[in-house]
Amino acid sequence: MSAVTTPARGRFRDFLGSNRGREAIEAYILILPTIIGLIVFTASPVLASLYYSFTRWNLLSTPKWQGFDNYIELLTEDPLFWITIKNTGFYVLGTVPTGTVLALLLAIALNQKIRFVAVFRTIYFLPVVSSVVAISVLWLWLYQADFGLVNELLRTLGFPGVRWLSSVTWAMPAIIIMSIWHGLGYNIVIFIAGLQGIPPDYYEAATVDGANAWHKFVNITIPLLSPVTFFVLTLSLINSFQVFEQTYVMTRGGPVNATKTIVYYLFQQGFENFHMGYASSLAYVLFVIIVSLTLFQFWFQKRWVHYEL
Amino acid sequence: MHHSPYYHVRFAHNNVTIPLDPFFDRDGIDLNDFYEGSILQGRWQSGQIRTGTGDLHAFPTVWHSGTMWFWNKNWFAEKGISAPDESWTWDTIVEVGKEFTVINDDGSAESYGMDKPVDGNSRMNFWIFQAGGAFYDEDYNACLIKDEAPMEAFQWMTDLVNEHKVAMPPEANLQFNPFETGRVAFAVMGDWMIPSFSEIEEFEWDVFTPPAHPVTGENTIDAYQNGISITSSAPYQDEAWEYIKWLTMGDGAVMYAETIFPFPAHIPTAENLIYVQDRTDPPTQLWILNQLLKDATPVFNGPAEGEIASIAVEEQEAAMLQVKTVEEATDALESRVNAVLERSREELLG
Repeated sequence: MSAVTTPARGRFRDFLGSNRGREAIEAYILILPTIIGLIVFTASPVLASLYYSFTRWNLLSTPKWQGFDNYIELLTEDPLFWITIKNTGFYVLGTVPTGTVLALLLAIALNQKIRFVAVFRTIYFLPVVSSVVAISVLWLWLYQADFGLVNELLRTLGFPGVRWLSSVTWAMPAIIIMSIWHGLGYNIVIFIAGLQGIPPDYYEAATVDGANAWHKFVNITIPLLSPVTFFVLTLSLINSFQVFEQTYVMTRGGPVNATKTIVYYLFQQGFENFHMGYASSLAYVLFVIIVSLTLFQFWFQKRWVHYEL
Repeated sequence: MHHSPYYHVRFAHNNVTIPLDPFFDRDGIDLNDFYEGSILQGRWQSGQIRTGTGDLHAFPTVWHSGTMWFWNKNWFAEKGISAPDESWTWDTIVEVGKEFTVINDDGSAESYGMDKPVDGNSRMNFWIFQAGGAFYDEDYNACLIKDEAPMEAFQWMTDLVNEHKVAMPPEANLQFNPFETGRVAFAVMGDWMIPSFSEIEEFEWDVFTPPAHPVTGENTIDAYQNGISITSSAPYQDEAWEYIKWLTMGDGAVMYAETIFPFPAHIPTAENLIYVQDRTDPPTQLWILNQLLKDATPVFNGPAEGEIASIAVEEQEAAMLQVKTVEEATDALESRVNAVLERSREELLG
């Protein structure tokens, strides 16, 4: 039987024989390790955890299929789940808007022609390149109720000290303050890049038209910076929903669950209590929340993000 | 495989570990050479959701306690207060604790008599045992925290913080080391703190006999074994057993006690090496631990002991921080622990 070469197969063989074809093969070989790594270490666990979210599994026994029981339990019977949703929401609302506005204001300040600007930028960026765990330990000492520097400062100023991390009222705000400080530098750098991308012509034209600094900020800077603001907001939101290290190191989710977030609860259920199926369902609920809010942000950005004046 | 007692039931139930009885029966090992509780805590039998009976799945390497009482000798001497001894009761904790507690007008604390009134595992079992109660019923079907003795213990623990104000309230993180840094005069911690305390220079400390309940007279402590098991998949099980013998009762036991964990479950090794009466280095009074460990109340862990420990810590903190009343905290503790026990029964017994 003679082999029949179809026109499509012939064209493919010709492509493989060409320089472009050889380059493509080389390129695929080069990215193959990454692709394999992605499939083995990311895609497979993600898909496996979707399956496990419908099972009861303690790591040692065979997973037992139980349909939507995990999801029903966490949504209808588990008060801790709703506490973690509330805590995580509080953390997101506390860190994202404040962190974004502060980063924008500091970026504007650091975008001015002032002396030692590079030093200031470095100082603000230092926490970003530091380990969250190390920073959390440092802040544990700062927040210590009886001899911490934060309370010493408050008392010097005539205010009473606060039992920051031992108080159900203050523990989460304390973590929010630290997280804002930690993430500020990254957003500042992004905003500075955005500010430097705004053509100076706009400001010059506005000056000629008699606009003051506030008018220029509101009518030029804010609109033209909106794509960057959108980027910062989207990333900050996604990161904030996944907060874990700070609460793990500083409070272990306490006191009395006041700082227990979704990811901390997921960790506790999965790796302390060995409820892997339940932990997987928590992960997928978090995934749905983040994807929904991100899609909403992409839909809503059409109303406020401007790519030109 | 070394593992904590929290995992014994889970591993045994899922056939991860095998019974060791055929090995020690064959070799004529006398289990009386080991602290009784350490052996019981490694036993499990099918149909049980707790350790305590059946085949020995985890051979004890270590038998130790989270309830070791430490005192700051420098500070007691400075205050002219005599050393704590076996005459101490729960009431003495309050009397002596007041001597060391200094709370400023602004609410900040310079020092407390006692550290947070829980053990080194952040549990309160020892108060319950001393009051004459138990945390679980015999079959681990129910949490007994609402019984009279456990309630007395729970109330006492919170009173030390909120009523008598002689014990440090829960802090976010225990890394501030209040005992070593001189913020508390005495503390209940795990005996595993001893090696790290020994490295601190110019700090004189020792251990003392746990204060007894004023009515029952009990000063019992809880204790835990660290176990070593042979996995069902181990290809060289006889060789693994030889290693276990070497580590738990041979030269390895001595090396292990001298270098890693100084609380052997093997009584001859412990008595010849650790609990000797002529110790010159602190803790000079460590010998008192020997009898306490012989009399210790073993905590027979179920498959979800870690989860139950977290729940207990949460509710204890809620009461000590006055977020909940003792009634509310113990109600929640009882119902939450019972829910975990019920799920454990379903998981193990079907």
